[in-house]
Amino acid sequence: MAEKRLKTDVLVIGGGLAGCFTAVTARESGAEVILAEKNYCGKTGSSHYARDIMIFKEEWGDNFGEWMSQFDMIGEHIINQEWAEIILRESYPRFRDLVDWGVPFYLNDEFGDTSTGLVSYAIGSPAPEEEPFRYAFRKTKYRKVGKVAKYGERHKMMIARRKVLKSGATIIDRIMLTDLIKKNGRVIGAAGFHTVNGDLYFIEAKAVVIATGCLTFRGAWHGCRSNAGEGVTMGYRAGADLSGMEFGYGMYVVSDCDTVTIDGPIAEIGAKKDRVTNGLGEEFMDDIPHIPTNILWPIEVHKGNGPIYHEAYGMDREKFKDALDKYNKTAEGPWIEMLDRAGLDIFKDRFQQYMGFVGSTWAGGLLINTNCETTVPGLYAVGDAAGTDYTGPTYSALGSGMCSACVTGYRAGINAAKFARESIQLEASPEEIDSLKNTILTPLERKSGFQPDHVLLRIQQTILPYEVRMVMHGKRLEAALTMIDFFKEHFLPRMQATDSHQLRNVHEIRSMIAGAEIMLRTALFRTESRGWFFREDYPRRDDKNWLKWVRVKQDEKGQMQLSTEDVPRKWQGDLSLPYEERYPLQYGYGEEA
Amino acid sequence: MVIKRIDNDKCNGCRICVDACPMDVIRFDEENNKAVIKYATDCICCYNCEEDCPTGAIYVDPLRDPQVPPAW
Ligand SMILES: Cc1cc2nc3c(=O)[nH]c(=O)nc-3n(C[C@H](O)[C@H](O)[C@H](O)COP(=O)(O)OP(=O)(O)OC[C@H]3O[C@@H](n4cnc5c(N)ncnc54)[C@H](O)[C@@H]3O)c2cc1C
Repeated sequence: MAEKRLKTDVLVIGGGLAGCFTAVTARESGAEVILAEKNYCGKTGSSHYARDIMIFKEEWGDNFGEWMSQFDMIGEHIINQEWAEIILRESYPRFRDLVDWGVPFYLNDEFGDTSTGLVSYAIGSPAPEEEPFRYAFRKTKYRKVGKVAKYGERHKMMIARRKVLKSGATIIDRIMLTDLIKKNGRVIGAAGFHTVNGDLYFIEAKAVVIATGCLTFRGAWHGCRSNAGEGVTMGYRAGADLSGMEFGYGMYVVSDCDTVTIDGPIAEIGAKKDRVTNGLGEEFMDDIPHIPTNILWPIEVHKGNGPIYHEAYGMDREKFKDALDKYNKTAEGPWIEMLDRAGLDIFKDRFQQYMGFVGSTWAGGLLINTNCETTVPGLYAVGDAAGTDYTGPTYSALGSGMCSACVTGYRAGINAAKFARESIQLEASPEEIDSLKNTILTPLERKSGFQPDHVLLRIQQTILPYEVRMVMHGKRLEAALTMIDFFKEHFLPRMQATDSHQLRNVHEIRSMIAGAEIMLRTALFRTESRGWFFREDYPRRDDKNWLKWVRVKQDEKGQMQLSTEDVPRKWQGDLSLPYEERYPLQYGYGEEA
Repeated sequence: MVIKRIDNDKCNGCRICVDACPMDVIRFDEENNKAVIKYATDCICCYNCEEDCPTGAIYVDPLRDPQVPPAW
């Protein structure tokens, strides 16, 4: 096992879309760049599996005020409007960058950017009037506010990889970074190891950018299961503030088949006709579409009306054969083929589904300012790992995850390069290096101990049941916390890694345990309900006390500190409105039911 | 569920599946010049390997692994 020491101006940790954008932009701004990816950059991250990208463009008739008011309504008056505006306004230039990189988008003459013929609503997708974003409205109607461009390309991230290499940045694959290196209060690099050959890596950099994606517990939803939030938790340990960590999200998945959902295919093949029913056979969602399932389904189950079924109807397989074949080839995955293989027919069968809890949301993570700097000098964050609060306790628009990955990546690239130009490289002390070596490698040295799969299962059993992080209650959050504390104190210090692959698992679990604690404590702290964040013991929005963001940080003694920051008055919306008007998206929780 | 097999006769040793795996499940056997399933229990059923394999040597079983506790 060798020990590698590398030096660069900007170190990017994570090679999803946000990381690639950062690397390209930092390099083009003149910095030397290393991008370290724990898998193979170009084949991994949520980015690899995502399809839609949000684009706002006034020239297309998009109205800024209207978009913002939708974001705000869905985000229930606690969104960071400065970030929301930046993401909207910079969506089109970043989309153009992707086009310049060579990422293909579906062509649609009618709705597309006809001047270039590149932009798009996917052919065969529902009319935009009906479904611009699959917004979540219970008592209000859909409104068309904009366009979403679709990736039809399964290999867009390979195109991004090639762009990174072409820019002159260096990519190192299979390097998992686990800990930041600090000196004089500044982040000066990161440490980790090669997951295949076990080599130790110490990378010194003038600026470090965390682009490690969301924090998951390897739950049932596909695509992001390899993200265990190491970037967020190593930033936390380095003293950075986090925001929005109480807001988790889930995605509905088919129980019997390891496939994302049948909603994507149904929407994609053109004639969207589907129904969702509960155990009594009732269509309990009225005409509510899909995104709010995050909270509506768990509540229905909690009432004792489970399970939840989802079925397509009135469609003919033969008629949609071409559309189905096309869908199989999209980035989202070969779902129809896999359903076939599992003996399930999307046109005939009723699918039992449940929520696959993911973890931190698109807008929760390392708190950043509009230069993408965290609260620790030298440390930046982008994409899903960043805390911008742009969507609040929900997901404001389909396609905004990818969009914000591009926008934050671009900004971080410029600013991290600038920071690197203006700073000198600090050397890591030998003591620090020794201590990191110890932290990283100790699990390999143990002759026996708890195995990663054992501890992973325990974490999942604790955090994934709907009654813990979907329909929440103080007592149950406390109970889960008791278990997580136990894992932290008993399992974690005794975990064994039999080789470098298992060492990766151990460090992912280390991150999950920290992440679970953060998510549970912040959820306990917010004593209200808002958006998808539902506390059974506090079932109403509490405007008096909770027009606030929850911040978390680790103090010098290693203790978790929770605090709040008021949402500026100008972003709180009209407080004089009656509750029902202020919150038109009624999810049917608690007293509202 | 998980990746079930890599067909030895079909595998041409191109390593595409090794790179495609986001969980480091597949490793390369240098001696025999073949991809091998090394850590099947970590498979997350993303189908990357099967989709990318140029010779159709890989089969992933889509039945959900009961190991991940369902939300309900
Ligand atoms: C299945 C799925 C479908 C989606 N569909 C859409 C969609 O249609 N539209 C949309 O806008 N959004 C969608 N999203 C959300 C969107 O994909 C994300 O918001 C976005 O891709 C985030 O990009 P990112 O670069 O921040 O993170 P990621 O793409 O997740 O990249 C993070 C990278 O960091 C690497 N990494 C993690 N830890 C380490 C470490 N310790 N060391 C080194 N590397 C590390 C990971 O391997 C990964 O490659 C979807 C998400 C999923 C999971």
